[in-house]
Amino acid sequence: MTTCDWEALEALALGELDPERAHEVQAHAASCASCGKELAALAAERALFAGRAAAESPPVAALWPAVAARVVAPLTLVRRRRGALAAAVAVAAATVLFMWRTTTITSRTPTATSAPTTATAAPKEPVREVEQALDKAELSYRQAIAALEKEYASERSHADAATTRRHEARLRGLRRMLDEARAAAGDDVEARLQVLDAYSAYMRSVQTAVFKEEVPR
Amino acid sequence: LDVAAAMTMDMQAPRQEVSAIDLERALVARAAAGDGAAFRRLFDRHAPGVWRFLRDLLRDTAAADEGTQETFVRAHARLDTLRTGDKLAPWLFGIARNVSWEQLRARKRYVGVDDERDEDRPSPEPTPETLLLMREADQQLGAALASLGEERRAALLLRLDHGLGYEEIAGVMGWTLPKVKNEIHRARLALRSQLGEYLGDAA
Repeated sequence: MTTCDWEALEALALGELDPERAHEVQAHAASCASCGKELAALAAERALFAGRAAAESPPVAALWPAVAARVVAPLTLVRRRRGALAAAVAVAAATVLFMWRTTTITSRTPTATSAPTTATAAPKEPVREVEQALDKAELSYRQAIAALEKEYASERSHADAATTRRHEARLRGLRRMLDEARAAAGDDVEARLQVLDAYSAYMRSVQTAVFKEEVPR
Repeated sequence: LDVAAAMTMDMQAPRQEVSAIDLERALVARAAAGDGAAFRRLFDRHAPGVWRFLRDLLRDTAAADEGTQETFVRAHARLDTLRTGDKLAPWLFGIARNVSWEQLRARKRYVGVDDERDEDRPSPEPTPETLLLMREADQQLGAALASLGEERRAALLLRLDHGLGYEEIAGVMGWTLPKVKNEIHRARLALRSQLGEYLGDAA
């Protein structure tokens, strides 16, 4: 540096220059009285501010919990809401299973009509009722899966490529199994229960794909 | 920065090869993807600077506490708007600047002097409690800073205390580059006239 450059002096004092440029500016300041004086003032300024900053330790650790409650907790809430959805679906599936077992037993047991649980008379069309419950459970699964798939589609862009590939491969496999199970099931109740299992497995995998990382406390 | 690379960067690359900027970008990408631990690390790195900036603007530690929390809550909600290549610190100071504005406006409303234009009026003196905790030089610097108008003080602090470049300060303050240079120059002159002995009377 052969001419006076105030911004270079300031950058030097603030430690923003690369070593080569710093050397040049320093050399100029050493041979130029006014720049030498200005550099000293800028360095003193810098030291004053640095000393003030170093003397303090802002109490920020104590501030984190309230921040976490406002930013991390909502994520946990979403997670819980999804969990509740899955639980509702599981209840629907369990109901089907229970009804199916009960109906099977009652229809196979000669004394079924006099069983205390059927005081108001046995269902007239037990099979039809099971089918309705199966339809309902399937619908619940489909809704839950649609909601999760939407979530997954919006989150996929944030995941790394390898993880996405892994999830996609697994989901494709389960989806195929689900479609095959549905195609083969027809009206057979046992087969339709297996379809529900396939829905359940598929749903859990989408859930895993969506919540790929644990939300820390 | 490729998000996929960012997600795995600080686990795979040897520590010394990961520059501070790359690490920060990785943390931002992970925090934006919902990684709470990554956001906590960003908070730990930047909250002290943000807190001091707000304390210096608001001259009130409780207000700085609240302002810091608000700044990071807003930052978290907008992380995905941070463009690749943007540095986090200036962006955070910009949010903090808005938060402090809002607090000052609310304070004025509360005091009932909103019809007066007092943005450029010097801040009240620091409390005796604060003074007690500061070294003499820090006290003098604090007093000199307090004598500056709020905006000029903010610009000077961003340059000298937080190391932002002039263009970054222009972004935070919403000023043109010449205005940033002019304001910081004037702030410096005021500071030097008050702090002569601490600056070796070089001014």
